[in-house]
Amino acid sequence: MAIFLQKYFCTNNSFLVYNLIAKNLKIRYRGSYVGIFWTVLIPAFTSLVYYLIFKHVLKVQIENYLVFIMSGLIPWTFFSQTLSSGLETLVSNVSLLNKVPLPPQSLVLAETYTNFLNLLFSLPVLFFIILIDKVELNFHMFQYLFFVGLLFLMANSISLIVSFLYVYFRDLKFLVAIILQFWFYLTPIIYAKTMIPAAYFYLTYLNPVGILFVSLHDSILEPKIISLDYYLVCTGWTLVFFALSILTLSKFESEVIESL
Amino acid sequence: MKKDAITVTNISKVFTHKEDPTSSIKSLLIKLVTLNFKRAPRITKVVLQNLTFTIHEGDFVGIMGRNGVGKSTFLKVLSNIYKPTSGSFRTFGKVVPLLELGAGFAGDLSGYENIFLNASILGFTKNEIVSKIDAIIKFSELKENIYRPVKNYSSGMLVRLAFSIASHVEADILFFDEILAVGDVGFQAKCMEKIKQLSELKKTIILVTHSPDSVKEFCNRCIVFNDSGVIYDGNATEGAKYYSDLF
Repeated sequence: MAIFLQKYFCTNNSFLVYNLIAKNLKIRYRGSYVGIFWTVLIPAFTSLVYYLIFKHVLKVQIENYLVFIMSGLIPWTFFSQTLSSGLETLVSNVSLLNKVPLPPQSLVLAETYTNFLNLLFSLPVLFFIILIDKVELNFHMFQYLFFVGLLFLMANSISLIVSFLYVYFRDLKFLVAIILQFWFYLTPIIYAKTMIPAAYFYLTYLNPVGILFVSLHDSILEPKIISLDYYLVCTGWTLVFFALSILTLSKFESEVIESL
Repeated sequence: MKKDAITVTNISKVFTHKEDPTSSIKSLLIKLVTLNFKRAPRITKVVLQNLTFTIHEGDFVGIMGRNGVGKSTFLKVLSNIYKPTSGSFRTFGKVVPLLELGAGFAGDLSGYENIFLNASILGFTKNEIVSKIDAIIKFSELKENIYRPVKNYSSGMLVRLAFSIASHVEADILFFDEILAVGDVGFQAKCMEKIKQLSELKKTIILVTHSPDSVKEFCNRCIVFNDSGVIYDGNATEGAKYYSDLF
């Protein structure tokens, strides 16, 4: 088991993963004036747009709506970017994988880490907005980090699955783009769980990240410990996708390079 | 009696390809509509067939053969990039395949940054890079160009940097795949000299090449491949001649 986890998280190749992350970050922001701050600015401005439209045009009744939006949108930006950039990782690195014996999962992992760093850079902005919006600070907010951690595992697992399947099934690129769009609106990110009609609330449980995003909101805005069944549902869904990604890896890892 | 470095036992490699490699929703729909659930016919191509031989520690082996007889595939199998269809092999010591120089170079990054990237891809540890970076830069003769993005390098400069990194890797067994075709004559000679030095340090080296002269000059053994397998295995000078006589 330990050996397997070592392989899955490439701990023996940590220096390689580190250099791949450094490359990703340098390439992404080279030549831009604001550089890494774009990762902070983009979710901040998107949040602002949602805030203006939903709070002031559609008159949504959620307190501290800007904090509410950002606490969901920052993780979602990480999630959707990881999926869409992770998807192409194996295919676009074909010339590398074909010439050097590398664990393919290390490239996907580096991509997830890169996007996760962006998320971490955005958290101070969230904290800043929390202060401005006068949300009361309390220790229950640390629960947020747990759910962000779960989302990391979830995103990396799904990213690994789709990156392998994409080698065999090139339509996936367009499917993932459409699915992500639906998924965004089906998940309580810009609306609150209380706005979901009770008869349909079970659907949020069926959404693999539904309760996860509810918990992300709650951990910032509700000063209490999140209920145990939320913790269990989130962890359960994440473990399901983690297991699926392990299956994908063990089934395809030996033949994927020849199929690229 | 010399120690074994690589033992190859009955290795075969067969590639199977679907006739149409890209599957899409369209082809899936057509299958559903026409109720045709037969699997797409597969083309098989035998590339390596029942190879068996042993390479000893410190050997400098030249592998020759016409295009498409599986020389590179053979190295990829030994490098664990491809799985053999049948048969097995064992390697004794750390293997570093240099099948392509500059694997994973990022054009926007400087030569200096690419040293770290490429070296970690080749399996250097952090300490190895830190202790060797000066030697790598010196060997590449790039001087202050090392801080320019590699997209602005000439192909000769690229090869020089890439070979410098590759030749400083710590390994017991090294594979080179026709990587010295570029670069000017001076640097080519320098590269071969460096490979020769590695060989004198008791490293085991396999060199895939089309140059009978390099085989004659550097190798102590030559293996010539053709479509059905190994057709010559032995003395380097005679092997190089055998290869030249194929044409």
